[in-house]
Amino acid sequence: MESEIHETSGLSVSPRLKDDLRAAANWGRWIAIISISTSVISLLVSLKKGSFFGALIAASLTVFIYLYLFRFGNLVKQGIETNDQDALNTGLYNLQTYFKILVFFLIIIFIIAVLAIVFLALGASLGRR
Amino acid sequence: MEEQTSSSQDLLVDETACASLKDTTRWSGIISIVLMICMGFIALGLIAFLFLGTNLAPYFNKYGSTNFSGLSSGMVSGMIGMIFFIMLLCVGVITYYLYRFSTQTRKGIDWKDQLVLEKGISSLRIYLAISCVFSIFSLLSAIFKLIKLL
Repeated sequence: MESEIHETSGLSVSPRLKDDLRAAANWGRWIAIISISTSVISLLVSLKKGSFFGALIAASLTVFIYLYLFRFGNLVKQGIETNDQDALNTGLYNLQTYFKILVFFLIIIFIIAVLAIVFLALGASLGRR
Repeated sequence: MEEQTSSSQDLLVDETACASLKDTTRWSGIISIVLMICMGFIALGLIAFLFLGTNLAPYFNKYGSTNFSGLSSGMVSGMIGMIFFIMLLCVGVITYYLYRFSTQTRKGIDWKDQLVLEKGISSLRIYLAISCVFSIFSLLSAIFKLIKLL
C-alpha cells in the first residue's frame, strides 16, 4: 500500500543513514538558530552605528535562507522519529531549497564582485589620465 | 504478512526523496566548486604575502585599521600569512566534505548503492557540524562587537 504512494527507489533509510540524517538535522537546526541570532546581534550593532537599512536587508536575507535549513532540521528529525515519510521528504526538499538559494546569492555576490573589480579598474585607469 | 506491514512502515529513500537529494547534490556541487575557486584566490593571497610580506608592514601601519607599529615587518607578514593559511585550511575542510557529499550521494542514488549513499549523508553531517562551529565563531564575534559598542 505504502509503495503505491511512495515509489521505491531501491534505497532504504538504514539505521546508519537514520543516525547520520538525525545528526545532520540537529546540526542544521543549530546552524540556523546561531546564524539567525548572529544576524539579529549584527542588526543591533548596526543600529548603534547608524547604518540600519543595509543591516536590516542582510538580516532579513539571513533569516529567509536559514529558515529553510531550520525546516530541514525539524522535518527530517520529525520524519525519523515518527516514521513519517512525507515529513522526511519535505525536510529533504527544504535542504534542496536552502542550497538553491545559497547558489543564487553566490551568483549575485560573484556578479557584484566582478562589477566592483571592473569599476575599480576603470576608475584607476581614468585616474591615471 | 507481519513482516510486510513492518517493512511498509519503514522509512524509504523514495523517488521524491531521491529527486530532492539529487537536486541538492547539484547545487551543493556548484557551491563546492565556487569554494574551490575561493581557495585558489586565498592560496594566491598566501603566496603573495609570502613573497611581499616584509614590504607590507609599513603599508598596514599607514592605511590599516590595526596598528602594527610595535611589530617587526617579518612578524606582520607572518601573522597575515598565518591568517591566510588558517582561512585556506577552514575553507578546504568545508569544501572537501561538501564536495564529498555531492559526489557520493549522487553516485549512491544513481547506482542505487546504499553504502555510498550513507557515506554521502555522513559527509553532509560532518559538513554541517564544521559549519556549526564556524557559525559559533561568527556569533561570538558579533557578541564582542556589541559588547564593545555598549
